[in-house]
Amino acid sequence: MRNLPSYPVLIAVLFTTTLLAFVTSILIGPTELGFRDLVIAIFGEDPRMTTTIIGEIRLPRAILGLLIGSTLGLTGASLQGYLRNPLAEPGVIGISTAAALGAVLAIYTGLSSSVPLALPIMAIGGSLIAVLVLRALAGSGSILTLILAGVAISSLCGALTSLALNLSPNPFASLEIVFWLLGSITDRSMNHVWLAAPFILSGWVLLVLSARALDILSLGEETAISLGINLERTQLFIIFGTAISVGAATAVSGVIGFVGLVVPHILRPWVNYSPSRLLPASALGGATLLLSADVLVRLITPGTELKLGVVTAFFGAPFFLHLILKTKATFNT
Amino acid sequence: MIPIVHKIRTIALICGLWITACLTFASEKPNRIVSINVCTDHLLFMLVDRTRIASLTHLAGDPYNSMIVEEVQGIHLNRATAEEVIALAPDLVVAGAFNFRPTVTTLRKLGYRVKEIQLASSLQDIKTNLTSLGRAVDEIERAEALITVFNRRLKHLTYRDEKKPLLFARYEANGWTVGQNTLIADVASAAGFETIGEQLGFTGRRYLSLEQLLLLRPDLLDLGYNWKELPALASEKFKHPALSELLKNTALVKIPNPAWACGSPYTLGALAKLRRARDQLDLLGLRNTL
Repeated sequence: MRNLPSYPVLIAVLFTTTLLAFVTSILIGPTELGFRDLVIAIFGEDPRMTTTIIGEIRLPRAILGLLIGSTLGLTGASLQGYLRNPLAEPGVIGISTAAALGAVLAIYTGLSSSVPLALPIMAIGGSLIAVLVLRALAGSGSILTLILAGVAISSLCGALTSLALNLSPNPFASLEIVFWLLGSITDRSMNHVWLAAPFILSGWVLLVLSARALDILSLGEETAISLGINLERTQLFIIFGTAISVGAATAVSGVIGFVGLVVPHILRPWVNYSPSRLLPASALGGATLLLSADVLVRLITPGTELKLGVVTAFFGAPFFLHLILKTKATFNT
Repeated sequence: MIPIVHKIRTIALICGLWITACLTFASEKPNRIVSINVCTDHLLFMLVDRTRIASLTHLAGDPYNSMIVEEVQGIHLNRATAEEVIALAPDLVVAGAFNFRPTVTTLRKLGYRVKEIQLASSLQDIKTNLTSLGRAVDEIERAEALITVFNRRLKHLTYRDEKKPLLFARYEANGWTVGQNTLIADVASAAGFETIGEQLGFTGRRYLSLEQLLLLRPDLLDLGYNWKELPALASEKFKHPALSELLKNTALVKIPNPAWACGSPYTLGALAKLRRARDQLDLLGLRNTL
């Protein structure tokens, strides 16, 4: 065995990077606020609008970055384990895009302005349909079938999102298509956190509950059954856990791709290829990655911020290609 | 007898010549004018009798873009496609200098007379545009009359106090705001304000983060149209708790979008509102001292 740090050390390191990224996210913004302002904002009298800026603009942004990044890392890791497919990831296989479609329908029909909960629920509905369709189409098929089914779902939902926005009467539609398909957490508020967090957290619980089953599933379905794993329950937990957390995350951020693909792959050797240990590590890794990407977005083009999906695709897409080349042998079988 | 006949002939001849002259003259004066830009819609509507307008853009009938929604009822409205314009058999097409380039090119190629008007980015531009379009539609006197009234109102509304300009922000859906070389900045400056974009030192229209808006704390804020009835993410920002916090201590002014979007004599309505706000702020001494 290679000389790898022990699991607790890895988690501690990832936890520290996540914390660092979280604090950086709060410190970085279009207005220059130093660490001193941060302290003033938290403890002292506020002569400027620092408290409002930190508490109502940057904090919700950082919290959402943390929640969404963890969700993407976590779901990527569990989907890869569950489908035993190295290319599975909510963005790549269309779950996020389907969730975005649900969210778009909730917002632009005006439903979410009268019933705010409609937004996460419709998005979760979208992602749930996508997961079920994917499972039916390609659950036990080859790696390639799943990816192709994902591409189909993704393009269909993307097109329907654009259609819904083009039909909506507001004049900003074309701009908002970009938001939904490339994602952003700029200027979100605490309302978004309250709206999404309960769903995201309950999705996590379902996924974490199936962690042990994932370990045993890696030995093959039949072995798993013979070892007393309730396959149906595991399947339900993973499907609903993914749909609920990805749906709620996408409802406030739009589609952010590749995070769930890159993070588990990088971390897998560090956890000795154990699916259950990969889950917490990937969640922390995903949070670090997304928070850092969100800091980059603010640094690369201050003023006019890039969309998050642009940054994640920049490192995610080449990585995806690399993975395809690596798994080419599997495709050919 | 004969001299009388001669006289009648002469009179008939003179009349004939006069009528011919009239017709020739009339053929030079466009009588089927089509406008394919909402800004030229406004100028054209003020410069010529409505009988001479063959069509205006559909935006002229849209309250978000037009100050003349009710006035244009009954006039044909177009969507600025070449096909549609040709079917209207215009003798003059008025277009904006930036939009519908392919339409303009096609129309020119087919031999239609197209008059292009630059988008106004200052109060002076509005006067230039009135003159330029007035000449094209052969209504120079009317253009001059409009400019005289414009100048008189402008003089009356301009803020002449020596006091420092106050900070004004137009913060639209999607967080758009304006800086130097814009009509809004020019109007704001005439009313005794400086725009938030000028203070940040940028030109034209740009996205401004909620954070910067909060930190700069404008004295006067114009949030534009709130799009309440048309759900969109763009207007979601208006519901942000941080903005509500800012609004607690900031004066608000509501300027109808078409007064800003297009430079026309209607823009003076926006100037009047800003000027009134400046006077009130002076009176209350609500200068942001922080």
